[in-house]
Amino acid sequence: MITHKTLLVFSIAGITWLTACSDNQSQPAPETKTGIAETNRLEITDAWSRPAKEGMMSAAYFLINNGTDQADTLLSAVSSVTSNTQIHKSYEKEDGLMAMEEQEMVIIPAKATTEFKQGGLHVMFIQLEKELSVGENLELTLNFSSGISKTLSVPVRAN
Amino acid sequence: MKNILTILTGIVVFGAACNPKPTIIDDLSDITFELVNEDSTNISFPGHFEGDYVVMGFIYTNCPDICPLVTQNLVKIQKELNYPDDVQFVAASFDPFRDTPSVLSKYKDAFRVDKNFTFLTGDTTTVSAFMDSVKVRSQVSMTTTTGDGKEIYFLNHSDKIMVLDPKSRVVLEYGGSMTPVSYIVEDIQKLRN
Repeated sequence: MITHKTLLVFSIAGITWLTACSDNQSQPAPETKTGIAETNRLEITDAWSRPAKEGMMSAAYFLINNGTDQADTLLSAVSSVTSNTQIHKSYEKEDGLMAMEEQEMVIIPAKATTEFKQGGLHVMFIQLEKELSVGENLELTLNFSSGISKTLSVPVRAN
Repeated sequence: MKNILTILTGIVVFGAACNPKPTIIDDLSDITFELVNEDSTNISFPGHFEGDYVVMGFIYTNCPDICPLVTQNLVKIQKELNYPDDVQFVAASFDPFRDTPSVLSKYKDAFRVDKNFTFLTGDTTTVSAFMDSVKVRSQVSMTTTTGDGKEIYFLNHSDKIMVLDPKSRVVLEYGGSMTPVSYIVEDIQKLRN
């Protein structure tokens, strides 16, 4: 005869095991990190680019820290590795397909960090005119509406 | 004593529930697609990989952002699993018109992948049928003109990594670019244990 006490013990054991069983397969990916820039200038940090062969595609990623009181706008990008450098954003469409859209400009809010990252905003190198090898650096210039131009030496590395 | 017995029973019952047979999402064992790898070697999929687990992502090489991330995730999964002999890694192109074996070979070189890592393409008809069977969609989204005046196109596409068991059954599926690699690795380890 099963008593109430026995049922309680059985239930606790079961709940414990079910909790242990729960997988994390459906957990969402971490949210995009944004934060307040730490300086009072506009700075580009954490830049990197993916290795790729000549004629293929690659992209550059970085953080734009706008520590000033004024929003700025990224208007264009020029690189040393292809004459066709564009600013794009990857996103997921309503139908579930991954899509990409060229950005004519990107607003860079004041006192904030704008993240160019895989699966989001990125500078795209179309049909590389030279191979990008791990350990090398490429030159990337970002032009802003304020008149600021920032030229970066972007390291090539596997993510 | 009776309570101890009850606890033990509970552990056995729920412990069994903890390691259920994986849910079969799709069974690919009764179909065959004649594809080619990056060396132009014919590969019958999935028969060629039968007996091993297969971790498979879907890409096109003119994709600058999402597909390299999918490929890199496959590379990371292989590394975190410590390059197991019983797990094959496959990146299949849904853009066979441009992704010829030689293009895939170039792409593979850039990722410095290890053994047991195959890139697949094929004729457009076969690849289209294959992508339908694994529910991977793609469509031309935009075009741009290169420096030498050539027009190139980009694709909207599914974002997927899936895992086949040794009987060629799809048992796990993920968003290919955004799912943390550690989740996938953990699930594969559970499968193999």
